[in-house]
Amino acid sequence: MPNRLGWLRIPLYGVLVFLYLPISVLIFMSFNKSDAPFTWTGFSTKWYSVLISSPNIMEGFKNTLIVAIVTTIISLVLGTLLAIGLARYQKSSSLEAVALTPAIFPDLALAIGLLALFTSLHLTLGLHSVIISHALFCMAFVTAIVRGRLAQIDSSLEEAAQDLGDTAVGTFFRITLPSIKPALIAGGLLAFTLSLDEFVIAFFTNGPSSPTLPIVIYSMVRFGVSPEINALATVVLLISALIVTIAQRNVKVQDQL
Amino acid sequence: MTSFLNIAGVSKRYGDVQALNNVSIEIRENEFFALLGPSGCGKTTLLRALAGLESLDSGVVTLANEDLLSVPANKRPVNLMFQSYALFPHLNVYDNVAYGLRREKLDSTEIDQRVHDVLKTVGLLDQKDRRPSQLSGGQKQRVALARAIVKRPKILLLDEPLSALDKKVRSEMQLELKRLQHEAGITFIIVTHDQEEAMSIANRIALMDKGEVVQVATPVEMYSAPKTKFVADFIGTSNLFAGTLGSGNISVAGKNLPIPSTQLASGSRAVLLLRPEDISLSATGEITGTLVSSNFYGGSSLLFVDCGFEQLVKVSCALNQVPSVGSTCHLSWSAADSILLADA
Repeated sequence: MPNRLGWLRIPLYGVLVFLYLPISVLIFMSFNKSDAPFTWTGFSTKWYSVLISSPNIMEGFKNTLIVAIVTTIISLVLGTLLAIGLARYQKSSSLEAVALTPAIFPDLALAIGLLALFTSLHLTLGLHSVIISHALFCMAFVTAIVRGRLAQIDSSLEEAAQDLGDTAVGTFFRITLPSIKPALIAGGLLAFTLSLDEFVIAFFTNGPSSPTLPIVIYSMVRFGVSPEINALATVVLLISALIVTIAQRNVKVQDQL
Repeated sequence: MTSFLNIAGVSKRYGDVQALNNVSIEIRENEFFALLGPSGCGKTTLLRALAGLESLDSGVVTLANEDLLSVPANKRPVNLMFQSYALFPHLNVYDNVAYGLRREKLDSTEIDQRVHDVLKTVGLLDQKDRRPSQLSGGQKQRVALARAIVKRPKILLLDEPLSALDKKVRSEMQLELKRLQHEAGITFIIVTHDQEEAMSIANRIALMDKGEVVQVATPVEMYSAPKTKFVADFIGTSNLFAGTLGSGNISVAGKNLPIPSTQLASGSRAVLLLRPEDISLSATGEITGTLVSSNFYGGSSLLFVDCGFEQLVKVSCALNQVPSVGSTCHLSWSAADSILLADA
């Protein structure tokens, strides 16, 4: 009913502008010809070429991809197993709360805690320590999503498979995994995006030799915003938006099942 | 006929609840057997134990003289049709039905033949490429049935198979279940809380209460010769008059009612059972009361008469003889039609 909104359209559009204006300015300015980041002088894609030819940025991008991909795999496997364990054997709801709280820990507290732990274990810092740290909180998100899906599916499906002659392992791969597939896709993509632009924890737990992309950006803007940052931020934004869209679509499919 | 499935002295306890208490039942080959009882009576626990999905604390179950309980669920020659149907949502009808056969590692032409045959039997050949979410309740039920019988089990267990269907589809499916049981030559054990369903569908019924078997009998025996007050109350519509036995009568709420011949001692507590169809309206009667209401059931009506007892007396009556509400009714019956039960 398009005409029902009436004068309520005014605050609606106001909020939308508030939400999207900063992002729009960023995208707009990333196509600016000028060397000054926020003075428009004409259209150009030259800052995107600068990005590609910058070894620092490309190195950061590569590191971030490695961290995000490995984090996704680890948190998917562990998070799914944890969710299934919780669904099947859980006797107390506090256990479930313990498993899910890392998702809402303050980043800073988690970062300092992890750094303290790694230092006391004499672990050298690098991409591996970032991966461990990211997997820790991403796993909680995956667990929450998969646990939600498991609560929706009929618990007698697995019993039915066994009744029809399937083994426990066969049942897991043929029945359990396919029924939670939408949650696995959504959870994996969420873990990937969370890791992709995570700054605080990576900043604390990373070594000096292999910065991730958010750290590279941070060190660049410390000396003032340069125009290629606009282009870089636009690229990161597009990747995140794309992934979130795919994830949401899968959650919707899950609801329809 | 010798027993095929022999359940001997099985018990199961969940914490404080005795779900099954020393249950023994003998079920014959090719029988359509019903486990009937109110919710929480242990019937579903027993069914799941037969399928291997629940362990038992004690007791022995043999199928064709071989121990069944030591066989894991996925190796038992027994299949269960779940109350929720438990159809695999990510597989189409064909793959749902073929699932169990593929686990037996049969060759694909045989699987195809058997799935095709069973889908034809349940009338779902046209729907074989559909997902369960695209099917109606009755169709889902048929898929669940097809998926279980295509394995050619020695026993098919059905957990409240018709409870999710509306009344009209339910009676169609009752007929269809009977037909399938007959055609497939498989022993069916159905769990239900619906006594009408059990009475109309089963060859024999075990009525359970609080984890124990109260009576095992054919539907007719169960109705005409209930062993206890619980059976009399649970099966069919009944009038139960609890009172104290005198000589040749029973005293209920100050009225003396005639009784059939009995072994029960005079002075003991007893319950007189009278079925509504055994009571008739007449000019003079054993008891007299006022008609409170009448419920119309197609061919006949059920009258509710207030005769000064704790409950209204139910009387079945032909349509053209229903008196007007508020009028005085004289009720009479032959004492031989009534049943006298000890009141525990």
